[in-house]
Amino acid sequence: MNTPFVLQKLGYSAQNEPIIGGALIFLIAGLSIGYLAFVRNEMNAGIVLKVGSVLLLAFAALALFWPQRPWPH
Amino acid sequence: MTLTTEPDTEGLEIEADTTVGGYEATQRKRWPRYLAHAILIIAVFVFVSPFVWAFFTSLKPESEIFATIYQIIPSEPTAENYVQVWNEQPLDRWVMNSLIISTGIVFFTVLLDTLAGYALAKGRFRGRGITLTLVIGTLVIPPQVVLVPLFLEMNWLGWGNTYWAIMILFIANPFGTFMMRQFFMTIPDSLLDAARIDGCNTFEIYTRIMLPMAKPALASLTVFTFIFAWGAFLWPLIIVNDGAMFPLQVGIALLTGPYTSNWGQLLAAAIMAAVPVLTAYLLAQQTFMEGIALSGGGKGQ
Repeated sequence: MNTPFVLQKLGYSAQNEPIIGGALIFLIAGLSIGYLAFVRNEMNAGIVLKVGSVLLLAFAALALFWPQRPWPH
Repeated sequence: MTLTTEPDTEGLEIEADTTVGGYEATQRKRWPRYLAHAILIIAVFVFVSPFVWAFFTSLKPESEIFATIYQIIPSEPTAENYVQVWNEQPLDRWVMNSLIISTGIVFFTVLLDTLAGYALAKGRFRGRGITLTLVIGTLVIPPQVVLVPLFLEMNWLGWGNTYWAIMILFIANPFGTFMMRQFFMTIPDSLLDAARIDGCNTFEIYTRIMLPMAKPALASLTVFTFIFAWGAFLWPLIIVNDGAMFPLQVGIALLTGPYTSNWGQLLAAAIMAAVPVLTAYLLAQQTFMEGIALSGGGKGQ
């Protein structure tokens, strides 16, 4: 399995499939922002950064367990 | 000729006149402000009125939209357009696609632009000037010019119909690199020298000194990029041809049919599409303003 094929598979998901690529993006962004917000004190993170990181992780779970409302509905 | 110690009242009279005149001058100075406010109010009306019209029209039943087109506020507001568009279109998937694409673009843009801006502002390496010139040079290339070559390239990579293909055009935009570079230029070198004496290496200076100091600029870059990515239309329209992968803007645009369109649903979807952008702006409004002030006028201060 070559690299472009794996990336293609990760980056595409059909209508009623879990969105793996999206979950990956949300997970990376959520963990990075969470690290800055909760671990690094020098960032002096506000509520937006903290809630944002949790929200991104929630979106990652949502994308992973997609679809909640299969099409056609 | 007589010498006198009497005060020169003539001069005072002139002063008094000037004072009276000064009052008039103050009155005159107010006019530019009134004019500016009048222009601003007209501009606000021009920009806000379509949004207000779209919002109120989305609350009208489909049959009344064109029958009562001059009656802005609906007599019997209803949410049926919102319910119908949610039930009849895969709007949840389009919203999710837009969120994925926007999050990816914002995250990688902020990461790469801060790194590049830091290197171009504080790095000492051969070719820094020409690199900066090239980065700024790419600002003048219209994105439409690269669409066809990029489309061919994405298909050659096998990335057609993927999130990566949509995101890659917008990641690491030169505007963000330039903006972050301008911001990092305002941070004094003595701070970096102090950090280096304390044992920080170049990357630690970036994470521990530069990033925390750049929070206002990061916030404004995030909001700028999010608004831009959320509204992206042309490139996703070209590179994606599967309805499941449409971002919201492309999905909404394709709700219009060749012969007839459901305008109520279209406007309801458009209003829903505007909500995340408004939320992002309102959440980061203060830091957004600070970021513009810091990155725009910091270097000259």
